[in-house]
Amino acid sequence: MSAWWHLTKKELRLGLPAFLLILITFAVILGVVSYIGYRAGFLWEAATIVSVLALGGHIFYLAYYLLYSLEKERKKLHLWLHNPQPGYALLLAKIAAGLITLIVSMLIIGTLLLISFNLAENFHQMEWSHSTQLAVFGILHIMMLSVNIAVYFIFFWMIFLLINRFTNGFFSFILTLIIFLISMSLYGWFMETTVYEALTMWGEINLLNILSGFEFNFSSDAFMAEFDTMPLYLGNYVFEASVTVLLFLAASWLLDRKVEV
Amino acid sequence: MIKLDNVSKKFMTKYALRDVNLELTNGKIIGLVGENGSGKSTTLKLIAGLIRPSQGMITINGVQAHRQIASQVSYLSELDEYYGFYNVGQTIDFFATQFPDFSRDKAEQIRSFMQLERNAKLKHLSKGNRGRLKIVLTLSRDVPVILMDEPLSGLDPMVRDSIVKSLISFIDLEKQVVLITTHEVREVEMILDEVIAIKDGQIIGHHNVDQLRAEKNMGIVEWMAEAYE
Repeated sequence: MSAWWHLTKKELRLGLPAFLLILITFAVILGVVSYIGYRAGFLWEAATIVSVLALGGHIFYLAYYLLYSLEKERKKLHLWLHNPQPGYALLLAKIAAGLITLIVSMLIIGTLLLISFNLAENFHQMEWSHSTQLAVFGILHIMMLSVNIAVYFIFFWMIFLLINRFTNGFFSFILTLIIFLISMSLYGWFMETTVYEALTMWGEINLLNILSGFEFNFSSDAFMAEFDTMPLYLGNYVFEASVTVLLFLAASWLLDRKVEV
Repeated sequence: MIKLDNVSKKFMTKYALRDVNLELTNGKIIGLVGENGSGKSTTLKLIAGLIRPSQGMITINGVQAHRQIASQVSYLSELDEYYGFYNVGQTIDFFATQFPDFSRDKAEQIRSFMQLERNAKLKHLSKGNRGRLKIVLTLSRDVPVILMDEPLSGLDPMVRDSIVKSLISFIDLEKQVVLITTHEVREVEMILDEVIAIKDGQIIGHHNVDQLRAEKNMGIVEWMAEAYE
């Protein structure tokens, strides 16, 4: 555990530029959009919209963070892989470091969102109970999706490293992309089947009970967004979680048994 | 003991190693010599479990080599890649956390012998000092197998001399076997117990250095010249 934690601290240090780049990019975009919004008289509304989009974009954060970290490691694979810890521990250290920075990044942007939202006079204030529910629902799903996408990324990165043994980086990337597209097409086809339905469409969750009556209106009433009855199934969550775990185990196995320096 | 049993390694259609059989016993410093591309680095990576044989088996003290054999093997790569955000001391500390057999005291001794500043940033280190740091990190582990891939390559004579001296001073030959690849045969000749010559992925000779001198009245360089003819 101690060795793993020290490895995670190294991963945090290795991934620091990726984390900072996201915050700097957000600050720059926020600054530009806020300035334009300020000139148009909608400073806080503009800041709110940028913050919401940035928070939503965090579903790709972990994959981006791992891309940076694993690419850095690719240049010194002998250093990363010459370690007595199992492959899953090496990968979990990277995911843990990514999750820590994901939470920090979401906290910073989420705080700015809260401030700007409360100062945005053109947005009617939502009832706190509903906005809290939405925030929890949204944050949880952003984090779950971020981990889900990240594990898919790690799996295909391992495929990329395998192919990279035989050919150069560019062709490895192209071949991995082709394998990814074929896999996703097959997965898409599988999602249309009754087997997939049987596996996922059970344990219906009524979203309206969670976000009952949630709605927000602009003052003009010209725009209204409502959550309607979105079908959510517990089966879907269990299925995706199972696929994520299996892909992670497969990636760890590939790292231990197939990836070469 | 390191044992390679009928080991071949193929990259696509090209053999990097072919039908290699070797037994390397503890208590020796063994030189693996050969031309560029002859299979020296491949042999070390195979023993370190960083690549896998296409055929045959490698064992270290009876355990089949795999990636996690790193717990028994200290591997020094020919590459000069380290985590540039650390300084020398932080790199040593990080290694100490990753390998339970890593001795901080020994690392400090070797670092001081090598005259490396603890606070020196890795990205500012000269090639010579990076070479010295690799030696610190590799020799500070209490493991049965030490693998060193070209530890003297591209270094000036003073650095090479300090590395060779550290090999004599900081290796526990009662427990450890050291396999070292090098082009600088003359520099390490006096510390080698055995020498293995490799050519086109095949072992073309494996000798005890003292026997070579006594029986054939040859140094390693002369023997290599003969073997490569």
